[in-house]
Amino acid sequence: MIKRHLYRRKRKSKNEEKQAAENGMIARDLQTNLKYFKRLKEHHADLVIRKFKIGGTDKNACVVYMNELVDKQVINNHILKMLMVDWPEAYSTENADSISPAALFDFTHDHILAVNNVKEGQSYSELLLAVLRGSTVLMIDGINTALILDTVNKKKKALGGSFSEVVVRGSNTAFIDTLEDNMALLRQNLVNPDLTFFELNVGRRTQCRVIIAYLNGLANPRLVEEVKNRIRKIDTDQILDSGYLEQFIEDNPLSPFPQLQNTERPDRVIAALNEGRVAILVDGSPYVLIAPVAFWMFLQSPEDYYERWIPGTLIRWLRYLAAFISLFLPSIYIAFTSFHYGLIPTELAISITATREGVPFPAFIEALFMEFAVEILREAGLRLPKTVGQTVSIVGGLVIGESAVRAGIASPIMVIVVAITAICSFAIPQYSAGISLRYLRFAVMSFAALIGLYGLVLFFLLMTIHLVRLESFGYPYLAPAAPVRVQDLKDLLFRAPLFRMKRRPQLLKPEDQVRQRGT
Amino acid sequence: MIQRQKRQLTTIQTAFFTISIILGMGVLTLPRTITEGTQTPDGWISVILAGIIFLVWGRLIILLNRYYPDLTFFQYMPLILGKWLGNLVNLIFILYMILTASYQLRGLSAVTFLYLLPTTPDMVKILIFIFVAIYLINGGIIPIARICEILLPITLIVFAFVLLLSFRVFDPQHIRPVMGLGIEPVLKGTPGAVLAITGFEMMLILNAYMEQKKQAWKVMVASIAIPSVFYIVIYVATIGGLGMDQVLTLAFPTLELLRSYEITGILFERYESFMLAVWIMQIFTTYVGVHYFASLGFSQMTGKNIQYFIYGLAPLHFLISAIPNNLNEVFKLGDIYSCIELFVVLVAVPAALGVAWLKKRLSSSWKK
Repeated sequence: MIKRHLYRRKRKSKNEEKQAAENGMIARDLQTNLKYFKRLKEHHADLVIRKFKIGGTDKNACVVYMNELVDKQVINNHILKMLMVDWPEAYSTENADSISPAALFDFTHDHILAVNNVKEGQSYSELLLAVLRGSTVLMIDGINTALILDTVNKKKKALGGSFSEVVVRGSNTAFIDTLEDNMALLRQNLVNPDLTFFELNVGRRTQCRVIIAYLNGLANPRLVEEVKNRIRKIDTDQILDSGYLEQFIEDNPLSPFPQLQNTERPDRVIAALNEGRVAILVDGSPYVLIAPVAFWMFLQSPEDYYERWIPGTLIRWLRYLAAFISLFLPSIYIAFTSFHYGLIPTELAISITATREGVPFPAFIEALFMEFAVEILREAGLRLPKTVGQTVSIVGGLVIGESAVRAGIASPIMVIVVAITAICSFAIPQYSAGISLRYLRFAVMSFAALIGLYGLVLFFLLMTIHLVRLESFGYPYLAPAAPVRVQDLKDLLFRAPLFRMKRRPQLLKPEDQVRQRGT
Repeated sequence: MIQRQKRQLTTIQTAFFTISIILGMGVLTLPRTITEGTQTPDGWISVILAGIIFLVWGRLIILLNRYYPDLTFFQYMPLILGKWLGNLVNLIFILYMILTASYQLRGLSAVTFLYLLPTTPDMVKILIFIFVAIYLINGGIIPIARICEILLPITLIVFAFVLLLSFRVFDPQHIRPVMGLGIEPVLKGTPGAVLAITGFEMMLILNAYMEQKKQAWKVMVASIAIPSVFYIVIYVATIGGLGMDQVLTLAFPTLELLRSYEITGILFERYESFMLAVWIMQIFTTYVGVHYFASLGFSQMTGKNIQYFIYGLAPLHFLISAIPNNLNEVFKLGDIYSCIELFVVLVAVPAALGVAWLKKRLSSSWKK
């Protein structure tokens, strides 16, 4: 857009302007600059150009801003009023001619503008970007520097609770859409001069602000550098959400597993930063990315650490079990009922056969049908308004399950299997990891339907192979299980008491290994 | 990629890798193969004896490795024995690994045919298995070692669990008398036990990839001791559960042991499915290990890309695995490859060690 405007300008304007435009620098002459913005106004109805004379002088000046993005109180009271009404007498009419534009500019900057954040800008693109982001540009005739005044008034939600990662004990504050607030949430809860926010702008057409947060002197510098490099390499129109960014910087786009963690919980991010990981904040997204990740992080909840270690450990085991069931239970059922009746207890086998009597489909089709129904219910429940959604899923689940059994399409045991699977998949604390297991489940089911238990084992091998080959920012995905770091296993097999966790995860090679000293 | 993975294995990885290669078909057949030799229930002593013998040869392997700590067996054999002789030994070693791989494949299809999938064609089972294996082998040595790290603990835990459950059919009378007929039967059983522990010689190759080479001897001890203990437990549990006479008639006595008892009241009555699942995983790691090392051997001998050999060996394994006509011939194949292995370990390694030692002596005396 900028380019096109510049181009048009170049053709029409005079020599001097041409040169300035070629450099993309603003001119000394206010009229020239105004022409540029006026032309913009043809396409930007919300652009405001307010021309005025400074105080009692006949010096021309103007402010340019986007009408809907700014705090008008600031513009009226702290910029326009100061420049027009409260302008000191000493600099008025009689003295005005003797004052050079440069002195006037400095005086304005130093004494007049009661705005907290003032920057200088000299190129059109810079000014335009600032205006588009909600700043106000002040230009004074005779000066080829403009002032960029921070008048941003972002439209945003109030801070709210977490949607997708709720804990019972602990804060439920979640990130919101605005980058500044998210940074504030981190600063506020992690008071540490080492907390570094490194800013990058991503996007060819829309410059989106991306912040890389890490603890200086703790995060491995090579990791930080790698994250920066990968983000710098992104060349795309626009980053709408951190999900865009994630897909551009992940190691293996073909993998079914997420290679960055996304979270809306500040405490999770802070815990990650304290372990030497890197967080990536994207403007406009309430989800912050954490890199690198290990597979197990998706099965952990911050609450594991807030509760005492015994319940923390037990609940963690429960979740591992739930993840296993949600992936394998339907296929185990399929394998045993279609291939290995002999391997299940006789009575159970008899009762399964009895309930399956009259079901016209093989177990695989039956399971596929029921799983499919559950997935649709879940998706429908998700998109509907909250109150309706719950009703739909409960009613749908009950009605479909019950009537499918009555109609003889599915056996009651299959309904139980599918229901347990669904419940277990809800126990996975991270949505994105849950999705992976959900669609992998269908793959296991086909393996089991083809070659039974053997297929299950082969699928397990296939998945494990993929996981050990996968890396997140060069760090092994299955660590600390493979490669084994005995030290780090205490946070995988158990949730060791906090006073036992004296060292940070070794694998990240943090610069400072020790988390706590003493007893 | 920031930190290009160093192609080096941790000590734990090396040990788990070797153990995973050792544990394979032997797990299911061992009680029978040993008892065939001893004809008394003293086989567990044979295992101890075999372990001790191999510790000695393991020590020789470590000593040999020290001459060329950063080279694999395939690379240093031509340096020690000369190009022709060295490469001949390499080829024999590779032949052993190819036969091992084929044996695992055939054993796998035999066991799955008997206990899991009586109707599925062997070809399908083996081909899928090879495809999965190639996916792993293509990743190189690091993912293979990591897989071993994950699968071996699972295997040991599941085996411990199912063998503990078999305690209800355990009858101490079955393993008595200890050394009732003296030492002679024990010695006769030792070859059977020796064959089951083959695989520890992979340290000849793995040593080059170790991060901390000083730990090599520890790894060697662990990778002989842990399988030996594991086998002793299996042997005692199986003989104690089924009795010697019955074991001799069974192709896969360990599995039959699990089929011989039922535990009612829990979800499963029989636990052989658990054992089969983890046993398939162990066969997988053994197969992947030897397939990878055979390809590596060819690649290091010829200097060509390893990919060719990975894909080239797969159909070869498949074809060889189809040669035996029945289960007895399959077990014959096992005996054959074990003999080749014994040749490599018992003859080639000491010979190479002697030559390397002589060369070093000569060159150092030359300097003087």
